[in-house]
Amino acid sequence: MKIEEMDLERLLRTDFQFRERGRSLPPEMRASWRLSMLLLVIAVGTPRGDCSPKRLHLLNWSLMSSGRREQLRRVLSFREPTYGLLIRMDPALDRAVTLAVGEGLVEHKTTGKLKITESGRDVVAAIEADEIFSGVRSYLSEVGIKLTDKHVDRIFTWEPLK
Amino acid sequence: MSMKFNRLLVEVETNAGPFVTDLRFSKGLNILRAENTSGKSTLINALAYGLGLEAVLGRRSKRPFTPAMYHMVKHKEIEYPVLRSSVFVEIENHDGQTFTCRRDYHGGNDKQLVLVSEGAIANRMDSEPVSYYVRLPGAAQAKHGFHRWLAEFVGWTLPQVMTFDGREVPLYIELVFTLLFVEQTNGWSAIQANLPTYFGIKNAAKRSTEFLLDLDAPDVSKEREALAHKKQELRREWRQQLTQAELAVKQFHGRFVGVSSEPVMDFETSGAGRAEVHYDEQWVPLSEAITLVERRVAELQRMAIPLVADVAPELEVRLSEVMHDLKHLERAGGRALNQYEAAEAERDLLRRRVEALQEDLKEYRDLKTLQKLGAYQKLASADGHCPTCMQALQDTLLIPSEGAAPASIDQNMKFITEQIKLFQNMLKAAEKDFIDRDSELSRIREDISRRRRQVRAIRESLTSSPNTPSVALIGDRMMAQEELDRLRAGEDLLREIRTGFYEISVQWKEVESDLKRLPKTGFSDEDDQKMDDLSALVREQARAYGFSSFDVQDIGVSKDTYRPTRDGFEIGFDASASDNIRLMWAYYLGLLELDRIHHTNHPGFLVFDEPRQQEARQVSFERLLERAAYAKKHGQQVIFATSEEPQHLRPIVEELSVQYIATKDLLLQPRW
Repeated sequence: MKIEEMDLERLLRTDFQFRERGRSLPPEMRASWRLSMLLLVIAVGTPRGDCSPKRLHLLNWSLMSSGRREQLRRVLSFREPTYGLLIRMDPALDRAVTLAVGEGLVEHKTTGKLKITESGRDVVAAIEADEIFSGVRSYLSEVGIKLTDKHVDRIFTWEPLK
Repeated sequence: MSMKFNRLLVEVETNAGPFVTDLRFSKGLNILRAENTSGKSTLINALAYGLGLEAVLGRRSKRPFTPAMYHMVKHKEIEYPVLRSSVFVEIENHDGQTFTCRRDYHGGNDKQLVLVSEGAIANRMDSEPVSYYVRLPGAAQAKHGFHRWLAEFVGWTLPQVMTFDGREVPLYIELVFTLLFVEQTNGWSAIQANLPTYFGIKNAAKRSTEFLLDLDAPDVSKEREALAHKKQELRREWRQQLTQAELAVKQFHGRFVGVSSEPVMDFETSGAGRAEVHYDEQWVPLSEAITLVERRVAELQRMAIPLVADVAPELEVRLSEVMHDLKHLERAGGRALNQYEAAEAERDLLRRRVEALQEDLKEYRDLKTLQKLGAYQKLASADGHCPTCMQALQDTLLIPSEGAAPASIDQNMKFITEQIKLFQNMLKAAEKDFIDRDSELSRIREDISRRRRQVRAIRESLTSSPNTPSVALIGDRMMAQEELDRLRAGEDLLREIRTGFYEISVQWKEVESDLKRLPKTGFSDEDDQKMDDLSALVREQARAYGFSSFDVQDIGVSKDTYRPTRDGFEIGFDASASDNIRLMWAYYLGLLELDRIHHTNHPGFLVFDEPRQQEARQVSFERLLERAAYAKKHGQQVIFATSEEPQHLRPIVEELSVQYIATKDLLLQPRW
């Protein structure tokens, strides 16, 4: 029956059923996604394998949109000043890190930096073998080299990189 | 189509003289009986080697022959170094043509050469052999390619098939031969176990079996593909016409409505495709607009060109009217601009929304793959609980509070897909709206510029000498005529374009009806019958051979993979090793027997080297050989090499007419 033909009165008097759907989430709010991202940040986006929390949050922030990725790229190629970047720390990332540590994929060093474990490397290897998250991986390998720890600090304080 | 082996001659030349093995084959079942170590497999392999088909024997690196063929022949404790070894294969086809193919292995001609002489081996000296070559690129199709000759000899026209990198190559004859030749080492591990993969042919097993069965299905799917391709082309042409139409109406700031981006079958009758012009603040059909403008032009023509002095007062009135119109139009233009900008913003917003959703869907797809990986599955959170306290955990980073639990990945993807569809529909409408606003705006702008020209013309008249003719009217006439010309040109162009639409829709109708004509499953009735009969033959034989792993009734031959299946699954692990052998025998023989009741491309022979001891022990070959012996009645041939005890074979040999070739005949004998 077309909408126009339906008797509105009748329609309103019929029983309605409400079915509760699961709550839809943006992919970045999935623990498994964020877990994978943080593993990739450490394994692919951090050349020396020791990732400071600041670096983690910075790269995590940049992964959230293509606009942000572009921005960071431009800043690191000295085409834009650092004070254009408004980095937000994300408590959800901290929860993901806690989970990663619990799962034995990542561990805290005494310096406070994060290091990936053997099990963590296994997950990264599986991700690379199946060629998923390829966009993120190529971005992290590109930016990871350019982003030194000194750069990280300067970005947060809005100082010039050079 | 047919081919059978008449004779195999293996000649090994040493400095003491030649050693030979000479076997003659007949129609029906031929049993070659010898111990495993005596080189019986070498003889089976020689049949393949002689025809350049060692690919069916398995891994390329393995030699098809024992050292007796290239190093040393040991006879009565004396070793004779090998100077040259050659294989002669005599084959006969359906037309009674007999040819001898010679291929050397060691010391003689290049291995890539096959010399073909007309006539039997015995008469090979009577005529000049023709050289063909094998295992060189292009040999399958080149004039002097042996396999091309062989295909013609058997009576095969091998089809073109697709490779993984989108090229078309001929179906290589080696692939078909894997259904006719089964060697001992690896051949009994699966049907077409030694199927070469280095040709890079897509679905090679399916294509070769399809060819052997001579199914119509590949033709049907080729036709379907060609028709789908044609549809794409027609769709492209249609959209080009649409673009043309939209360009055409832009000339007079009109719009083109009523034609979808998808071709239709009945263009004329649906009356689709109207051009409309924005006239006097509404959209009117082009034909109507033309009539209105024609009337105006006629009116203006009728009016005589007056002198300025005569019309000055009228001109004044006219001027204020036009300026009033202009103000009105400018306001309308302002509104139209706002609407245009709003429509553009709406469209852009929707585009960004759809893009963002598509990106999210892509991330979810990767996430779905991630969750299936072994490395991820190991995690406690993959199982739904915390790694340290084992409490239940959802796959979300939100703080657990009131509210629904997160949806599963699949549900979330479904939701996103629904959202994409929704927003794409809205985007379609928004894009259409934007186009309309665009035309409206440009139409109004044109009206405005026209009025401004009028104002200038009238002012010019009013300020010129009173005895000069008033240019205002001339200007009006010219503008009206210009408008009319433009509209008419548009109409002509659109007429052509509509014809284009019509022609495409006729072709579209044809293609749709052709598609409807094709059998839905891709199988013709005859194909279905063949497959059903093959299934019956396989079942019948499995039962006769004592298949016991499960009920024989459950066995069928898949119409998708052409392999024996049970409940749609390939039978492999379901059955014992010996039952697997019985099943394979039933399958290969089934293909042979099918040729007796249907037209297939089967050449009418099979060559089997028995399976290795471990697998074969349980299988009593009597029943299998009994069945194979029926080949004689139908002019077909089965060659079977075995190390079975002669006393087990005696009853079969005596009861059925079977060609029996015993041990001593299989060994290389000195011929001097």
